[in-house]
Amino acid sequence: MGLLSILRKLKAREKEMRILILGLDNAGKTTILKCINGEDTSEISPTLGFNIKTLEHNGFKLNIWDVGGQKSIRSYWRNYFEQTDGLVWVVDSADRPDRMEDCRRELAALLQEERLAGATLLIFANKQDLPSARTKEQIAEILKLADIQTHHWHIESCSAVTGDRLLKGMDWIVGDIADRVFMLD
Amino acid sequence: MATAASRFGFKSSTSPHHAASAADILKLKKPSKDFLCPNYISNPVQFVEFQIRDMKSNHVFFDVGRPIETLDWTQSNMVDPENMTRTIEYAFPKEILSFESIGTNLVFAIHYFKDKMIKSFDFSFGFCIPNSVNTWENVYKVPKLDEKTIKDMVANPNKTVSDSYYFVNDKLIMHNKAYYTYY
Ligand SMILES: Nc1nc2c(ncn2[C@@H]2O[C@H](COP(=O)(O)OP(=O)(O)O)[C@@H](O)[C@H]2O)c(=O)[nH]1
Ligand SMILES: [Mg+2]
Repeated sequence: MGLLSILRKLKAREKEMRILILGLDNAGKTTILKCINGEDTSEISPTLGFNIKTLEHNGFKLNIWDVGGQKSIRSYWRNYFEQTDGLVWVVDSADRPDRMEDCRRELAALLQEERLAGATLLIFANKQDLPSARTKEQIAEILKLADIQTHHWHIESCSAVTGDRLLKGMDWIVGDIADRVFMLD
Repeated sequence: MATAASRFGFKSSTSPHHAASAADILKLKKPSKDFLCPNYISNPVQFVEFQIRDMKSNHVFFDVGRPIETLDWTQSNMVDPENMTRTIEYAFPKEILSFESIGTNLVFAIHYFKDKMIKSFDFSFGFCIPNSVNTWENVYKVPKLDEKTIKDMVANPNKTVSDSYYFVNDKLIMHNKAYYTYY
């Protein structure tokens, strides 16, 4: 990215970051968002649109978008790509094998998107509290993360039910975006 | 595009005379005296629920609309009947004025939107999926208010006013007013 475009970005957006949480339905996206925000996660209904949280984290203003993941609304995802600094991809680590294949395919398709080209990628291997959960190494293998050349990426195992390692993942993505986008500060 | 914006203040200012665009409203430094658009009966955006909580204790001290479909706007003697449906009165314990940060959570439903965008000059929702239910929680630090201001606000019920503006394609489609009482 050229110096001018960095300056322009800095000026226009004043330390605001836009983070998009995507993944298949039932992966735990809404639970993660609520858990990060200190809300009760015991009653969560399927997302029929989006949930946005605007909050401050380490001096940055984060706009975090959780968009529903059902097949019928996945085609609307692309309406939310514009100006995205970070993509959080949530995986149900205990999901069925055929759904894991869906998950790999959807992620690979997203990474081809031009409007997401500049985004940092965090993968949450969620539901680690379940005994049948795959490890993050197994998930990385299934999703073929090692092949990704186009994006900064990082995988974190977590549980949205216990809250384990969620903040660690968020700190990483915010830090990576800050280094890329706001490095002139 | 759809947009939402709020202006919050202690006294009202006079409003612009012509039809308001997002740019006009950005210039307002205080809540407006009058409503800046007609009270449209059918509206593509419907508010389902509004919640305010203290982030520290997680205590929800205001929540309207959970079991019902529309906001339960309070009738008040200071509001003419025509504007009843878009005016709300809050009564909060005065402790709210010294909370560190609060979260306001808005749940809204989109009806006959197709390929239209919702935006806010404070915040842009961008595209809204037709027939969807969406939420936006804004967590912000409460500005540090001095003793005297807090006393003033408590002593003058309904003098603290806020306006919320919602635009679709830069046309003001909804303007709601709220009056606050602290006790
Ligand atoms: N055991 C377990 N269940 C989870 C976890 N995260 C989410 N869930 C459950 O998975 C279901 C789907 O979660 P939800 O957040 O609605 O998924 P979304 O469709 O991706 O938003 C809910 O029943 C959650 O309680 C987790 O870390 N562990
Ligand atoms: Mg959801």
